[in-house]
Amino acid sequence: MIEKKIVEVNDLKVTYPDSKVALNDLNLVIKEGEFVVIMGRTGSGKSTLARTICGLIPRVIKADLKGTIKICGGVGEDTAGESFAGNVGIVFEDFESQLFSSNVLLEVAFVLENFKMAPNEMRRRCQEVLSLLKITHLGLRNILTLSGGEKQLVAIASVISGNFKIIILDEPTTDLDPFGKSLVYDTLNRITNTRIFIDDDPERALKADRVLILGNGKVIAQGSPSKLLTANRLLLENGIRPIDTNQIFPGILTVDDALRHIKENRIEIRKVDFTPAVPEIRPPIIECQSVSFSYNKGAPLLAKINLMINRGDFLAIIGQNGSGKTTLAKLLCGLLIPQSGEIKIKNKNIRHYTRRELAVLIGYVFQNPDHQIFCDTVREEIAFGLKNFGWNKEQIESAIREALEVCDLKGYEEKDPFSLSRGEKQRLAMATVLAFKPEIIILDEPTTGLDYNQQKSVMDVLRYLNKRGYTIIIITHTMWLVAEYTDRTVVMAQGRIVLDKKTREVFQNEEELIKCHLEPPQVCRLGNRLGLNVLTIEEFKQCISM
Amino acid sequence: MYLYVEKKEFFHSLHPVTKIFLLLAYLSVSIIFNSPIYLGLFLLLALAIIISAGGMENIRRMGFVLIFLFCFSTILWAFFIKEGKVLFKIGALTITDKSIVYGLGMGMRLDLMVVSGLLFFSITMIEEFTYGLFRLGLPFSFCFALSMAFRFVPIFLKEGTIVAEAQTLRGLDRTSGNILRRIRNYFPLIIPIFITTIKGMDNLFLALESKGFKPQRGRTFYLERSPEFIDYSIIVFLILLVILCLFLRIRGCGFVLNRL
Repeated sequence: MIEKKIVEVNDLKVTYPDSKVALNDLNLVIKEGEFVVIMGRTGSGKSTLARTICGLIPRVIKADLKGTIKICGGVGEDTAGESFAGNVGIVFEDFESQLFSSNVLLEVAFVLENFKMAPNEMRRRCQEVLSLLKITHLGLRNILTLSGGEKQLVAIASVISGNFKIIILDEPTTDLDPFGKSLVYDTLNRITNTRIFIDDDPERALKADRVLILGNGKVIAQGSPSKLLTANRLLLENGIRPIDTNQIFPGILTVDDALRHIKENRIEIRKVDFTPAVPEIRPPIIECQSVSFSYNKGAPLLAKINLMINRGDFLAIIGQNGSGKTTLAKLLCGLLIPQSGEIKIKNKNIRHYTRRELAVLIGYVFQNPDHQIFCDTVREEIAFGLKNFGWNKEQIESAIREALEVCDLKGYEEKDPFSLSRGEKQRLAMATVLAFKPEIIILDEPTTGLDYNQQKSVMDVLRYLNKRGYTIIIITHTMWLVAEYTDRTVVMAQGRIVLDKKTREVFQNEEELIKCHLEPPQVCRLGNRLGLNVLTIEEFKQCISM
Repeated sequence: MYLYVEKKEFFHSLHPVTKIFLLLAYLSVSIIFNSPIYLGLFLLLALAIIISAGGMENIRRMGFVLIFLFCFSTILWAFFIKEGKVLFKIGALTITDKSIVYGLGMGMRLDLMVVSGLLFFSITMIEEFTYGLFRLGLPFSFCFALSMAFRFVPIFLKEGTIVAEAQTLRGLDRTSGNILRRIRNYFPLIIPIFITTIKGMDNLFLALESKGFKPQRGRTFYLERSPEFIDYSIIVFLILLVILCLFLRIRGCGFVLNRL
């Protein structure tokens, strides 16, 4: 059988008007029906490649293009765009702004309307796609009322419905819970179109036909997932977190293989007790008593939440999409007022604080750093809050210095915040909050859009602060990060708290987590199968070392 | 600011074109009459329809605006009309019996216009509006551009809310201080809202482009359907109603003063 080439890229060089070279002598062939996962650190040219394949570069986005790119046998430049429509569909990372319809069904139908599909057939096709992504129940929902993860599934559905020859997903899975993420991979596995998925999740990428690593605008390595994903050094160098089992037993990529490997090689496993000898007793800093909340008399988003957060906790709030995590966080910092129940901060009802007192006490870092940037320079950005709190000049200066130092942004004082990279913006958003030293810091998805090294540097900052006595609360879908950094985890489902325990105990309870559309990191799953209660790779290694 | 109410009931099920006719009929009526009694009757009817269509929440949300418009217009007009029997004088201003009634009528008219819009958007999705206009023969690019403008209002407001929240959490207080100070505290909102909105539009444009959106090429509609007998009947009824109202007005009913 001769496999047809559907994408053929030769010596492609893309230069943006600011003379930044995004792709440099890139060569790539993708066959019809192939499922390719593209990985690489931020700034490696992944998005540029995606936008070039779908023809937006140079047709809509201005950039200088050298070399040739053939899609479905046609040369991009000759056909001036017309032939691309219908050939390539793309979902972007910034999913919010791609959605514009009144409800989910109409969003999914939009692409079909453009291709003049008959209404009856269109209705059938929409239902089919919604059920493929398991969002049939959202059909008539107003898109503005959906949670981040739900919106991402809708954005994906709205492109898959078009049945394009090539479907490109440019990291639109940042807000999905582990179940949602697997769902996207399963969906991609079930369709036969050519699929290009930009995503940094080696464990799930095993389901792909081929993995491609991009770096400095070139293809650095490519090959079958089972081969390429064993190269830990290569992955780490490119900002990708290697698969847990492969870090313990080189060449082993799945839990089942690891178990077999242990059995066959008679590797001795000894149980190590990792629980700290004396449990620390810390005073409470936030207390929620039977807190309920809903918007406009709708169904309750949060129902009778009881939660006690202690001073110095490093707490993770995890849960499936739409389970009420962000709502809870907004209640804790006073942006929302509970309909019933009571929230106490440092033994005082949250209602008795003024807006300003509360802001000094609790810092909140939003998910999207763009929403938190509004000044001309990094210095002014950090000073903004401090001026509002009435600090004097010297205090402000020293606070700026310290915050930039902690967040690794020294020397950025005079830069324009909007020109920073995503990772830098994220750290700046943290710095603006750290500067006034709130006792409690809440972060909503602090590592979204960051590669492994950047994620680690952000989390290391948080760990450092936590060690110095700050109470840190993070909302996240990245499970390894919960296991590695937090000491306590709250699991939410349908507006309730399902589990609230030490992180170690939470990840032991795999059954309950699966019910909540969650999954412990691979090393925990392996540990659980062996009856070990480990959280990290280091701990697991202690259990096998002689 | 999202007015559409998701509900299965009679008014929602009307054809988009019928709904547009309903809106037009209401707007015409509000201009034809200026008597508070006539306008008040239509206003009550419109409110009843909204409530039966599940839009009570919308009325509550707009309640303040409606009352404000009503009072404002009633008081203002009362000073400008000189006809009728003088009731009392305040300096150079005279208040007459007719000026009060006309003022009430004008208040009713403004409210009726707002309420007919409220009624329309409570039962009509933006996409239905676009489709309805298209079926009435307007070019699709125009319909789409118009609907985009409506769509951006809630998106714009949502962006604004998030940025405002972020600033509040960094100690910017918009709820205390004198009015000038409060207004000044809204300035820091402008730049981030514009930047996120422009960025958003850019992304939206890319999304439209990559989903094969080409208005001049023609398209089908998910909401496509033919008007039914009931739609035709209602459209005919609405046209007759407007003619009847015009006729009444010409024959001397429904006005306080014989002017717009």
